Amino acid sequence: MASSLSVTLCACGGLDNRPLTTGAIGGTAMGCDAEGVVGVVGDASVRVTLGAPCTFKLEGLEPGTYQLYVAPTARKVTLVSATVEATKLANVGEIEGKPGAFARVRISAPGSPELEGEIRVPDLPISTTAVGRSGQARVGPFPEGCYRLEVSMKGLGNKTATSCLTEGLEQDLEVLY
Amino acid sequence: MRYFRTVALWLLAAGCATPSLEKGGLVKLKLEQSSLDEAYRPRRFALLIGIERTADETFRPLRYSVKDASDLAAALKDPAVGRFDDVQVVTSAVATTRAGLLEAVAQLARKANRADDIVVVYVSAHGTLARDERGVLRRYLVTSDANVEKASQTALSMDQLEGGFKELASRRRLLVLATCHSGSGKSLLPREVEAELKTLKAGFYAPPLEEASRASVVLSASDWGETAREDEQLENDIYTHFLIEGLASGDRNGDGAVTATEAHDWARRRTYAFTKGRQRPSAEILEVGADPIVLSGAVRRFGNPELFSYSQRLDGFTLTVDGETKTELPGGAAVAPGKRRVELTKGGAPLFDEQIVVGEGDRIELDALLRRTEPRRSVTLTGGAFGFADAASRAALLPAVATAGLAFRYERLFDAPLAVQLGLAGSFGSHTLIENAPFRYQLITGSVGLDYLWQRGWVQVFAGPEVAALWLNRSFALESYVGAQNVVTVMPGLSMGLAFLFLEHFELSARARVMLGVMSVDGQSRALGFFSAFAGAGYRF
Repeated sequence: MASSLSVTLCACGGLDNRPLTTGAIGGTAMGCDAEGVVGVVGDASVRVTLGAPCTFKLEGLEPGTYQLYVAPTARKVTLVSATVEATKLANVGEIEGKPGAFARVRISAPGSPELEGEIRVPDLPISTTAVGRSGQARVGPFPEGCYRLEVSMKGLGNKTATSCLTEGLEQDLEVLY
Repeated sequence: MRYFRTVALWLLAAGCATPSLEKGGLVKLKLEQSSLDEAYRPRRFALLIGIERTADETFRPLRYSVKDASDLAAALKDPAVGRFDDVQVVTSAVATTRAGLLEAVAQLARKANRADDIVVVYVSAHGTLARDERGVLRRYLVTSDANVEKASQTALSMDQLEGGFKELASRRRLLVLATCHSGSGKSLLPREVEAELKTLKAGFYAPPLEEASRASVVLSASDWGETAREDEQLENDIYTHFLIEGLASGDRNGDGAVTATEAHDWARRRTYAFTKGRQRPSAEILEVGADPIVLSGAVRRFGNPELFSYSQRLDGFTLTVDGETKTELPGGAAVAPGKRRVELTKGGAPLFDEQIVVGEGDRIELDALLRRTEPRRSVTLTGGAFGFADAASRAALLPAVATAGLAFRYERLFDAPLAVQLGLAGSFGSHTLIENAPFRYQLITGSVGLDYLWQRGWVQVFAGPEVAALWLNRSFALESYVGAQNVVTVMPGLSMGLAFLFLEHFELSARARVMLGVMSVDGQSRALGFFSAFAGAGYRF
């Protein structure tokens, strides 16, 4: 009915109440650079990259409590908790990053002279990392804790590995095919 | 037209003519123009009813009702006057029963079956008022079998008579009522109705019968609530006497014919004068083009231009032409062709005072002349409300908001009861729909519509379709969301309203409208209803 009417009646633009039922989280990532990233833990799709003046705002968040992944630079990271209310901005203030942990991933695939693939961290807004021909990659920065990594290698398939990392340290992780 | 018919018939006869030895041949006829004229001449029918006595002896016999019908019949039949083709006089007790009269009208309808036939129905009888089975006070014609206390069951309802009159195929029909219903003179009322009427200070409150259908003319010997009288000296119903006289002498405009309105005007003035103002014959006339009901003579030349009015609105006004008083309205007057200064006055300042140019054969209805000079445009400042029709949208999108605007109306479009209206209204302000989500809004609506207009005195009622356009903007400045939302939609709808006109150039009006539009809400296209209502004060010019 509505669609047939819209043929004869013209309208443009629209009214949208959806922005009124969500909130936002904002703050400042101190000492950020162009590689800085802020996102929501558990939903890698919600992320913003940082730039001067290092302020960030994540919009369209349903009301609730969120863990925020704040990486002011490619080496520093920290987790911050924030509670979102509809129409409100939850300000987490100025966030200082801590030295991040990194996972040195080594892919072992006997019989495969050349390797090609990528590594994703599904629970954090860390960019997808490419695996070099040597079968090695450095993924991070991680806050201290245990994380799942999804390894997807061309011609070899997908594998999942878990790595528990310590703040400021790099840890090896071998994935066998 | 006549020439065309002659040529067409000649061509038909000549084109189809074949040698006489062949089957199916046509015989060539010699058709005289006079024969064709005669064949196409509008026929004239008259049904004249005179009811002298009734079975109920409480109605005193009328002395001249039969004579009224007979005298009028003689005038209508007279080759030098009416030249009517078929004149039927119904006066016997058997023929003037309720059933008899309905049958007579039905017979007339069977005979006068062409649109250009002229039909005259005349009634001279007692009249009465009675309540019908639904308790509505109605007028009744006292037939020969009527009983005053059971009038609604035994007498002939005027509505029924008028209904039969309207059934006639003729578009040139005249109903003359030489009767009245006031309880005196040619009338007698049931006791309870008489008692009821005595308690009324004002006049009668039942609707008058004299409502004319298109191209119909209803003449009444007396106005509503007055007495129609017989007179011994005249030996006729007074109005009927002068109406017959008017058939011979009432050619006001000198065109050779006496029309129904001319005869009525003749009789009306003389009846009024004869009764010293106690009886004012009335007429309700709706003409389309030239008056088509010629009662006597024939139109031989263009007549002098006529100015006339039978409108209740101009009742009592005096028509003055070039400073010379012509007549008191209702009525009419013929004037010489040319530029004439026409005035309509009733006591104080003239209602109308303009120069107009009139030519031979013109028939100018003063009411229409007046309407042409009356304001037909209005500009109105309005205040009102606009909103979504459904409560859910009012709660979620925008509540009903106050508006201010401007409306323009142009009435009597094409001289018809139509008006075109344009409207512009706007509103702005702030609201909070969802908790902690205040916003500012602005809206503008523009509309164009066509109204059918009913006007009775100083009250106008109008209704019609319209199309409106809406622009609505909502601006949010929330902690989490800053942005503006705009929507434009076109909404067809219906509107109706009324206006009270006063002091010639001013009006108070109100209008309500419902509309249907489509707009995107939360990313989905939806059909939504809207309403608006406003009132305002306007200037007419």
